[in-house]
Order: sequence, then structure tokens, then C-alpha cells
Amino acid sequence: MKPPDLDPADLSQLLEDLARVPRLPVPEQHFAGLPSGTKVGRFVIQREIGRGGFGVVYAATDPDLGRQVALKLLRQGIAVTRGETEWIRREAEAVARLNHPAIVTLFDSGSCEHGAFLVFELLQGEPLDARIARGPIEPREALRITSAVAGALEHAHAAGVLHRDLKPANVFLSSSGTVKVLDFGVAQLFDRAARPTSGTPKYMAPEQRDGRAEDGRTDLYSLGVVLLAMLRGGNTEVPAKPPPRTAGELERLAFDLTRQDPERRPASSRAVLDRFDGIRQRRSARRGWAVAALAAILALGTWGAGEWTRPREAPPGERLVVALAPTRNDTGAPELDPLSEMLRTGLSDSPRFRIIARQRLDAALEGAGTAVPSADEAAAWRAAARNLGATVVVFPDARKDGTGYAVSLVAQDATDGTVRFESSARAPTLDALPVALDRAVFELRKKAGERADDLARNGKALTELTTPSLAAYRDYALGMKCAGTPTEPGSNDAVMRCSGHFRKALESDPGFALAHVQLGCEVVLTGREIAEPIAHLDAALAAPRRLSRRDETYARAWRDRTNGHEDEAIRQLGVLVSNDPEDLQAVFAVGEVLFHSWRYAEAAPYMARASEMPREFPFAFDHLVESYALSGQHAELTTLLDGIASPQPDRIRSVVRGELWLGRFDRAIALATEAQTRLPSPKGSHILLEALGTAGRLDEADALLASLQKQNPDNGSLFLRQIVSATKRGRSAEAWRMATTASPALEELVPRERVMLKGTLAAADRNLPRIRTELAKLASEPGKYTPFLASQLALLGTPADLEAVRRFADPGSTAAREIDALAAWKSGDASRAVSVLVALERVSPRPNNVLPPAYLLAEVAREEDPAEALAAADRFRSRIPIGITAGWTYARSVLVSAEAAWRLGRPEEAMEFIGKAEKLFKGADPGFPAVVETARLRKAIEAGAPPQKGVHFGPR
Amino acid sequence: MESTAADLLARGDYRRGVELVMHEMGPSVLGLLHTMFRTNQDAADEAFSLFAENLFRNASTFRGEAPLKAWVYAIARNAALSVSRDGWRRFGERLETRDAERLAEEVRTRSAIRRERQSSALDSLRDTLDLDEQTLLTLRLDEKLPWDEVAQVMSSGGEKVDSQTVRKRFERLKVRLGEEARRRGLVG
Repeated sequence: MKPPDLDPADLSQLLEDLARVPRLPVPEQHFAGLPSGTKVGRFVIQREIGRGGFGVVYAATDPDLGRQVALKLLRQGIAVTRGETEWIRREAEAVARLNHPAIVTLFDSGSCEHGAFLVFELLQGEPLDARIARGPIEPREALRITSAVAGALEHAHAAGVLHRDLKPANVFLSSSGTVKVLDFGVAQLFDRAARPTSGTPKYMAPEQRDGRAEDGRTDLYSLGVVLLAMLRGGNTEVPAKPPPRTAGELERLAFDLTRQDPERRPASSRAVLDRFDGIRQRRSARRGWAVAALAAILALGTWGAGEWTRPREAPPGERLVVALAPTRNDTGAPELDPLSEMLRTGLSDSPRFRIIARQRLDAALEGAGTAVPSADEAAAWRAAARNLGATVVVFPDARKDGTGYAVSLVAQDATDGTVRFESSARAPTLDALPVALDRAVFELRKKAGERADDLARNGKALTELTTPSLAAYRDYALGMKCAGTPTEPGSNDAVMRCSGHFRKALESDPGFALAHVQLGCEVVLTGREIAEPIAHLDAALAAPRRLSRRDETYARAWRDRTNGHEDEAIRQLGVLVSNDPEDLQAVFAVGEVLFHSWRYAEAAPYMARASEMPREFPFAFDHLVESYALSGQHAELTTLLDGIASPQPDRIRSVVRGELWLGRFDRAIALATEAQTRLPSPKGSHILLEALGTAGRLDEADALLASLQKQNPDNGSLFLRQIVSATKRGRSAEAWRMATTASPALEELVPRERVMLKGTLAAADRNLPRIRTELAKLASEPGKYTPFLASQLALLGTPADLEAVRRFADPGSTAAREIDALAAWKSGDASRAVSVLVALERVSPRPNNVLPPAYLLAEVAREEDPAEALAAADRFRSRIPIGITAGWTYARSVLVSAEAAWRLGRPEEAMEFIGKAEKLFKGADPGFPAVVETARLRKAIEAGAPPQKGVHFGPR
Repeated sequence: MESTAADLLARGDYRRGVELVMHEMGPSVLGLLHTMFRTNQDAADEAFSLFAENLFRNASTFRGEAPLKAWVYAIARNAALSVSRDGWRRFGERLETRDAERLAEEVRTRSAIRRERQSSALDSLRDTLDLDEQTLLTLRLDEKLPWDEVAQVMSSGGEKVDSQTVRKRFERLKVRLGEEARRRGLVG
């Protein structure tokens, strides 16, 4: 390592500059509150009701006066100007003298061991910021609220008290409809430096921000910003230019209040109140005219009565949380069974509805230990829905109507079962029913208060979003049900079993985009033939009218994934999840893409969520365990596994793997042994095999493998395991013979897999010409095996090989970064190689198409940085190796550990590893490179000579 | 403060123990997080919230075997790593906490011009530090923690590292930063 040519003092100074971090004030919300029953002065704390800039607010009782109060406890140590208690008392008294209906009354103040406190009247209702968060406030209401606040300001300013911290959080809308301003003058009780510095002082006047003189107009500026926030639903951007003439009077007033120069603002609160009065009078005159005009129109009888019955529109963005009960179908026509599912798709574009996933409802009912109620048991569905936060439950009901059919959609209040709104459809035949349903769904949306512009913008009909053919939808629904019920726990056969339903659906309606999406997405998961699924996804995306926005995004994400644009797929699926956290299909899909992009830590939370629905997402639990393990979240993994008393059969394998990851080998092997009896053969044996192999009990593993192979001679997977085991144990000739002699088991591997296998066996032998030959065979058609073989040649080969394999690695990929690291190492810069691999391992701990970074790290660090090498080799072995990688690199890593321990001056530990390696190589070919290296290393250690540079015990 | 807070926690007075930790060490931890996530202050605040939550949640696990400071910083580091990993989900983008190579390239292009001011050069040098590297520097040089305590912090929640490895990493980091700094004309 070349020392930099630097002045050490300069470097030290620089490092200290980089190391130094600022001390920042901790926001109040991070401090613990007082438990109920604590006494503060004479007041007894009941519960916390909020936290603000200066402290925590509690509901408390005043035992002396027998009333409830709000007690604001100011955080000790930072807020109160120390040593100025007299000043505080005087100020508090001034504030206490304020007596106005729009100012909350300050009853008392004092200090105690927990800090200084203020006691106010206790209000019921909500703060203005909570109201604004739901959307803009209509001008008339905004005018009422602002006028009340201006009245309060007028009163306080006349008493010489400024508010100084006026913002929506300090304006309270009480349940009785009155407006109360909170924290009047409280800002004055504290020194300036103690004010909260985090966040944007959006409501502060410029003179206040700059520390210049303040007066009543400072509060008026804040009032202007509050008014803007109300009118625009939270946007507090102060206009730079006067609003156009067409703007409303309130906007113009807000502009005047928020002028930068206080001189240009209204002179006083009184002046503002006068302007409010003017606005009110003009509005009232206009309304009088409008009422008169309306009366005239009504008298002429030209006004459609429908307009009067139109339900009130919900504020923009306000969503109704809805659960859909299963269909009650008394018609005898099975086509109407999946009406509820159809309705879900039909409502999915509506911004008014947030629909709770049906799986969540079922799971909630199962969790409660109740059998899933029938469609008739409305109360049970309401209760389940309520528990999941729904306010409304829609009950679809289909029945015969004379010779025709009738469907009703009744939305009941989740709490009391009263009918909130409803719609219905009638049709003489089943074929005609979907069109009638289209109308009923629109009707339902309208009655739920969906805004007219939203209805117009999201105007796709139910029959477009699904299909006009009830028969096609029924097949589709059967397919979905089939996919959600695996024949065998944890099996991945849904694609084969269920695709028939989707194909049948397409026979009835070839343009049924959702069926195309299913065939497109499900099959992609198998990762094999992708031409057909791509064609299905393209067919779906070619007809955007036939997909809801959600489904279109979902399909597009999958299409992006098949194109290799995982990041874009994740982004799009992420949008679906943030729009609707209940969209579990999207939740699982995000986790799935992340998982297969090796972004395990990010995948874990999604998998945790999806694994709550084991039926729908059978792989989620397995992926969750691996995600925790591979991202080093061992504490989380331990908690997860310790919480499982006896795993379900389909989770045994994952739990065993988890135990192995944690290094709890005995528990893993005990459970795997039990699995042999609990699971059908040879499943349980495979699990035990993996456990024994990972725990290093290789002789037992080999014996088990041999007996299994005897029972299943044609099984490709067992065959591959045998080859891997032979390589792992240095029986290279045997492995090569198996891989090159024709056999039914070998035939099970696809040609590229066979080439890759032979290349890897050549790598175990360090037979460079043969690795090059096999790599050349793969090179004509690059794919996932090419980087894998390339990274092996990069490690073992010459610098020329290293340059030659660069073309097989995409720039920026894990493979490319590994090649960079190996190039640095081979040119003598081991330190840089270590840095690159340490960073790479953090983001990609177990890539599945190259050698793992931990293994390469162990190799490149073994001479220069043996401690790092020892730890890396250990990590590599403790991660369950997959596929063929487990072969020769496993044994090499044991040897690296031995060498590293020796170089660290720990010969006993080194000899322990040598012993392990020798045990591993019992029966190995004598010329196997790692066997030769083991013998050389043993000799060097036994000679007792200190490790020397330039003497190598492995690839260089 | 350390011994008082540790005593409170060990006695089972978690509320007051954590309150004291938050009061005395919170500002430094918040500063460290804001330095780590300087391009995304929301992420820093998110990490601090997670830190605060885990501090409360884990208070009962403090046994006084590890020094309090190391225990607190281990929680802070885990929170930072967790937010950094979840970055794209929470903040709509993957947080770039380290891309030394991209930066090195940028610096190579820019070094021809050499018109950066010292402070911004220092900031850009800081940009090459990942979460763990910033933690390492701050704990060792700013908080003056002994090597074994630094190793305890860096071992939390995953791979165990000993003090020797941490020292090695520190030395490598020093060399790298020295080289970067020289290339930017900050020293030497």
C-alpha cells in the first residue's frame, strides 16, 4: 500500500473536520411523556393529548376546582429562559388577563421538577391543521374562521400581547363550532434561541425571521398565511405578485396580509375585520340575488329535479374505506357468484373508494377463530370490516326478478348497519345484466359522494375494466381462486394448474385484458419460457381502455421486469403500494422483484406483510427468512423463528434454513430430521441434506445422498447435488465423469446448464484452458451463466483472461465490480480490492450469477488483511450456498481461513481449519489443487516459521 | 451523565434513563444522522425517529455490560442503515449514500478546473463517505470512543467485527481520504 504524500498534520485536521458533526436540538416529540397519575403542581396527569413546539400537552384534573384542564408541560432545560422567573410570571399574568371568546383561557402557570407548565381550559374538537389536511376549506368557512382569529388578535393586541406563533396547529375548531386561538403569547415566555429550529417557519413574517422589530402586523402576516393554507388545502406559498382581478376577495386580502414590507400590510386587526365585514356583505347581497334567480327558474319549471337530489360531493381527496362482502346469489346462475370480485375491479379507479382486500377480511375472520360467515351474516362482516378500519360495507345481492335478474348493491354503515347509499340493476337476461351493472356501479360512486370531475376523469365502465361476458369473468375468478389455493403447501404449480381457467376466459372474451395480465405475470415467475407471457402482457397493454389504472400500472411493471428494468418495475409497483397499502398483490410483487434483485433488506418488510397471507403468497415466508438472513438482520430473524412453536409443513424448510443462517445447527438438524417423517419423501430428506451439509456434517450428508440416489436414480436434482458434493470434497475425476457420461439425470439439465457445470468443474481443477473453452461456448449467447463462469475465470486466470471476461459483465453490475476488484488485486492493490468488495457485499450479499463477494473478499484479503479474510470466509460459509457455487469455493474458503489465522499469528486456530479441510478431502484426488495447498500450508505451519510475503497458498 | 443514565436504566427506571440519554446524547446523534443523510434531511429525521423508538423499545435490554455510549450509537447506526436500505420506499428514491466511483470520476473531470472553495470541497469529500465510514470517523475522532467500543457499535445487528478489523478499516479509510483530498487540492 503506497503511503500518500501528505503532511500528516493536514490530514489529521482534515479527518477531524470530516468527523465533526453538529449538535442539533432534538424535537419535542422524541421525549417521553409523563405517565398517568403523575402530579404536576396540584394537577394530576390523565393522558397525553398532543405535542407541540414547546412541550407535551396533557389532559389533567384540577382536584381543587374539580375540573378538567389542558396542561402544557414545557420541556426542561431548553425552553424556559433560566433565571427570569419574575419576567415569566409577569408575562403569564398578561396572557392570563386576555379574556375573549376566541382565545383559549390560561388558568394557571408554575414550575415543578418536570419543568415549567401552563394550564389552559380543555377543548373538544380538532385543530385547524388537521382539518386542512383533509383538503381546502370553502371560502365561506375560511372567512368565518379567519374573522374569529382576527377578532382574537384585535383583543390581544389592544392588551399589548402578540401571538408570535400563529399557525393552523394553534387554531382550534371546537366541536360546538367555535374557533379558539391557542398559545397566545406563549412564544414570548421563551427566549428566541430556544425556539424550535427544525422545519420551515412558513407562517413567520420576514421581520420575525430576521429578528427585526415586531408588532401587531407580524401576527397579521401569519394570519394571511393561515388563510392561504385554508383556501388551498395546506399550500402556504406566499404569492409574489398581486392576484389577477378575477381572483376572489379573500385571495386579494391574503395577498395584502402577506406583503413582505409590514408598512404595506393592513395597519391593524381592526382594519382586517372591516375588510372581512365588507366581503361578507357583498357575498350576502350576491347570494340574495342567486336565491331570487333560482326561485324564478323553479317557477318556470325548467330545473331538473335530479339536480336537487344529487348527493353532496365529498371534499377532494377524501376517501371512503370500504369492505366488500361476498355475493349473495339466489339466482342459481353461477356466473353471478364472483360479483363481489368484479365490483372490486369496477371500483378500483375511483378515487373516492379505498377498498379493503378480501384476503384481509378472511384472514381477520380466521384470526378471530370464527368460521368465514356466509353472505347472509351481515353483522359478522360488518364487525370484521370495522376492525380493519372500514366505515362502510357493500353487500352485493343477486336474485331472480320474474323471468329476469336483479342485482342490488347496498352500502351499510359498518358501525350500525344503517343503509348509507345503494344502487341496483335489472335485466331480462344474464347477457344483458353487465350493461345494467355498469350503470349501477356509476350510481353507487355518485351516491358515495364521488366528485363529478372524478367521475368524468375515471369513466371506464365495469364491463370495460373486466369483461362484458359473465362467463369469461367466472372463468377468470375460478383461475384466481385456483391460484390462491395450492394443491400442496408451498408448491409453485399454480401456473400449470390455473392457466387453463384464464385461457378459457379468453376464449369467451379474447379482449379480456385482466386474463392476459394473469397469464403474463404468473408465467414470468417461473423464469423459463417468456415469449408467451410477454405476448399476453403486450396484448393487455395494447388495450388500455380494458384495464383500470391500477391494473395497467401492474401490467406495465411486469413488462418492465421482463425487459430487465427492475428499478422501473419497483418504482411503479411502489406507487401502487403507496396509493393503497392494502394492495397485497402489489406488496408481494415489490418484495419479489427486490428479492430477485438481491435487495434483501428492502424486500424484507414487503415479504413480512405478504407472509401474513400464506395461502395467497406461499413463497413470502421463505423469502422473508432469506431476506433477513442475507441482509444481516439476525435479531429480526431470531425473533421471527423463536415465535414459531411448531412450523406448518410448508414452512419447515424455511425455518430450517433460518436456523442454519443463525448458526443454530442442532436446532436445524433436529427439525429437519423431524421433517423426514412429517413431509412426503424425498422432500424431508432434501431438507435434512441441506442442514447436514451446511452444518459441516458431510459424511452423514453423503451417506444420505447416496441412499436417496439409489432410490431415485433418474432424479436430476439429486444428481446435481452429488456432483456438487464430489467437487466440494475434491473428487474431481468422479464429478467430471458424472457430468460427461450420458445419463437420464444429466438429460434433465438444459444444455447451457451442462456447459456451466463443466466450466465450474474445470475451475475447481484450475484447468484454465478448459474454463476458457466452456466460457466460449456460452459466449455466443450471453445469459445468466456467463457472468458466473466469467467471475471464476477472472479469479483464477491471467490478467489477459481478466480483460477478456470484462465484456461479459454489464457496466455497473455486481460482476463488473467484482472484476474491477480482482483487477486491482492482481495488479498489487489488495487494499482497493478489499474496499470495493466490502462495499459490494453490503449491497449484494448473495448474488446468484457470480461468485459471492464474501468469498472473493476472503481470497483477496488473505495475505494483506487476514482478519478481514477470516471474517469474510466465515460469512461466506454461514450463508447457505446455492447451486453449484457450493462446490469448490466452500473447501477453498476453509483453507483461506487456515491461512488467515496463521498469518494473524494464531497457529492453533489455523491447524483446526487444516484439520477441517483434511476431513473434507478424505478420499479426494491427490492432485486436486486445494488438497495440494492444504498439505503445503500444514507443512509451513508445522515448520513454525513466520508467514512470508510472496509465498502463496492459493490463486494469485 | 453516562453513569447516571446507565444507573437509571439498570435500575429499571427506563423512562427517566431514556429521557436523560435523549437529552444529553440526542443532539450528537441527530447531528451525526444529519451529516450522514445530508442530501436528504427527511431521511435523517426518519432515522432519528426510528432511533428514538428503538431506544425506548430496547431500554430494558441495557444491562450495563456494554458502555452506554456504544449501546446508544449502535442503535443509531442500525436506524441509519435501516432507513438507508428502505430509502426508495420512504422517499421515492434510493438514497445514494455512497458511490465513490461515480464521485471519483466527477472529481477527475472537475479537478481540471479546480475552482471549488475549500468548504464545498470538504463537503464533496464527505459525500464519498458511506454511513459506516462516517460513523467510524465520528465515533473515533469526535466522540473519542476506544477501539473496542467502536467495534461494538459496528458489530450491532449483523456481522461481528473485532477492534483489529475496525482499526484496519479506519487506516484504509484514512489512506483513501488522503488520496482523495490530495487530488482535490485540499491537503499536501
